Amino acid sequence: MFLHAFKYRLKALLHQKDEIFWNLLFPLILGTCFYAAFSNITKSAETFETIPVAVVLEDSAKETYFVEMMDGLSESSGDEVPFFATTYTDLAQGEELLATEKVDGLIVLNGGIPSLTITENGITQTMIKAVLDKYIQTNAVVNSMIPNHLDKLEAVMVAVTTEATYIRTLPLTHGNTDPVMDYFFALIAMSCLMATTVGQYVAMHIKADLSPIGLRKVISPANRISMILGDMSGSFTLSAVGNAMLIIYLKYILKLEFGAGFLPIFLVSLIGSLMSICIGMMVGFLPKLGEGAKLGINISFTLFSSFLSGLMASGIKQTIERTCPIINRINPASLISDALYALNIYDTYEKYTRCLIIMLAMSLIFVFVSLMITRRETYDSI
Amino acid sequence: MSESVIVVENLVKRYKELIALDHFNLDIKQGEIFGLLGPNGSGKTTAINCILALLNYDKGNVQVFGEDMKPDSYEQKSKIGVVMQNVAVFDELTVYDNIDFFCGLYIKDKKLRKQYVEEAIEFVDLADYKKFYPKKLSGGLLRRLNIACGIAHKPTLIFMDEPTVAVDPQSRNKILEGIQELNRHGATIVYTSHYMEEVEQICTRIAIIDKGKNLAMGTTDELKKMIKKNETISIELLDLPETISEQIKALPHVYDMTYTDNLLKVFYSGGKHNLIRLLDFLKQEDISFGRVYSERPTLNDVFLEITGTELRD
Repeated sequence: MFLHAFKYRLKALLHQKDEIFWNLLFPLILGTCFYAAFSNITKSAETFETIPVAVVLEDSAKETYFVEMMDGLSESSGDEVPFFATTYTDLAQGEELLATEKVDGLIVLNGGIPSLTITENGITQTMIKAVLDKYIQTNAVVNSMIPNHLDKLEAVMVAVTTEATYIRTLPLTHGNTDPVMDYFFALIAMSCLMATTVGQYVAMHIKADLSPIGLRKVISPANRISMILGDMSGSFTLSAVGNAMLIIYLKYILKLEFGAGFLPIFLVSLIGSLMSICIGMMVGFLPKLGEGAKLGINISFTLFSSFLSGLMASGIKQTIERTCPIINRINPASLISDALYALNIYDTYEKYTRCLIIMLAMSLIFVFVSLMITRRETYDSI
Repeated sequence: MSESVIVVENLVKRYKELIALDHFNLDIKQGEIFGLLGPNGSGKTTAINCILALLNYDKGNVQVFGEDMKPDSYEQKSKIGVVMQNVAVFDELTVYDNIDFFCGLYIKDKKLRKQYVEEAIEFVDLADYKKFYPKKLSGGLLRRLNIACGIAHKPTLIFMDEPTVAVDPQSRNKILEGIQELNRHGATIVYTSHYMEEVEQICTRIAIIDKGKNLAMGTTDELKKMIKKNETISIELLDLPETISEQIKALPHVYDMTYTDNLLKVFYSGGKHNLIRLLDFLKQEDISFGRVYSERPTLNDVFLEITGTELRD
């Protein structure tokens, strides 16, 4: 009976276009949209653009070192773009270039000392200033060495031009710390929760007072538990396939770094789907509510749970963690995304395992409640 | 006397204030096509659901195949087939798959099941539609699929709850012929309908139900004999003098008479050759007449006389 119910549940689901869309295609579409939106943000943050500057030399013969430095910084090496795009000009034209925003800074060298003129404060202006400060500092050291310690000039030059870092950055994780990944974790959570709708039909097709098909099943001598398990397994398989497709797509086609292999991520989604089917079943068993109302409850729950886990707005989950952490401990979507986050960030499996155990425990509770609702086999009305 | 397949004694079912079944009794014998006839809301479906142990009831006993019927009476359930009023099929499965799925709830042997499914498809004449999805079927074909899903496992007791509702005449005849064929193959059939013609056509015994009560039970002839009316003769007359009218009322077996819109209706409580006698009388009185009809009482007449309301109400 189990295999019979499983086979036909799966077959029926594969012909339900709306279930196929929401469980298999919608997460892929949303994943693609996220990828397109967030990869642009990342690119704009990471792409360095050459800073245009205008340089005015009062006496070019005396400013050889400065010119060499600027020329060096204006050359590209390999794939890297040049730091500066330098325009040597006179003061009037330089001021005009600055006024028309064709350059971000105007450097005037007078007596070997560069002065910087800018029209606004920003990252590029700070970067120009940092370069000039470094030049002034080095220039001062060299000038003070030449009269008395010309023999040690070379060693001093090496010392001042070598970047010495006394602070070492040690990564706390080997995972991907990009906050954008939170959206993809929440997306996988939402994909799992979509299974609530298929879970609902498992319930509605096993109770005589919920559907004519349920009535036909109840009047048959078939074992109810086997039918429920077969139906659940068919629904679970569809959800699992949908999640596998999503994870493969995100990890291997969009090449998102999840900080873990396929199997532990897939395990999270499997348990998440199981929990979702159990939630859907429990809602499906609720008496005195129509099919549409139950579908509405399941979809609303999926969206609200996903919202709380940060699918629609970044930082929601963190705010909840600070103000009412218990919600994150029991919110299905948060549990799924937390497990994925833990898998990505932490070197140990402690939090990951804890999330999975909570999800399994919640599944058991939902199944227990469902069985309590459905254990009665006769009805007051049909 | 055949063995009783269903025995219902003093069944009472309440929906809050409403009494759906009021000390309802039934005794259905093996091999019968038993009709439950009553208007919508009379308690036919409730009675079936109580017999199938789907509904809780307040009082009474139900026995099926000689044993109390309970939700876990799997042995009895395996011999029962149900064709419900509402079509209960999966829209996402083909005709073949639907029948195979529901047959599979009863028959585990795949080979035997395949044979049964093919036979059911042939029985309801859906061989050309095996791969069709229910949404592509007409109302009549869908009803036939619903029947096939209910009887594919070859049950010996079949409940058919209004199986011809919203069905075209061709499919209706096919369904009724099918029911008789199932009966010829040994199945006991409980058939509910509010279409008296159907019940009269196929049922060997009939129970007339109204407001949860079993008002009368018997064969069609037995039921018709329960009422006063035996024959109604209608004759078109241009004029009916008062004296003639009185004489007609005095004819043997005539218990009532009406004359409206040039149509004379004479009601007989019995007797033979009533039509010939009446026509002879009219000729004798030199009364010219037009078209003539003679009608036997219908189950609606039975229902009307017992309840005071039309069955179609």
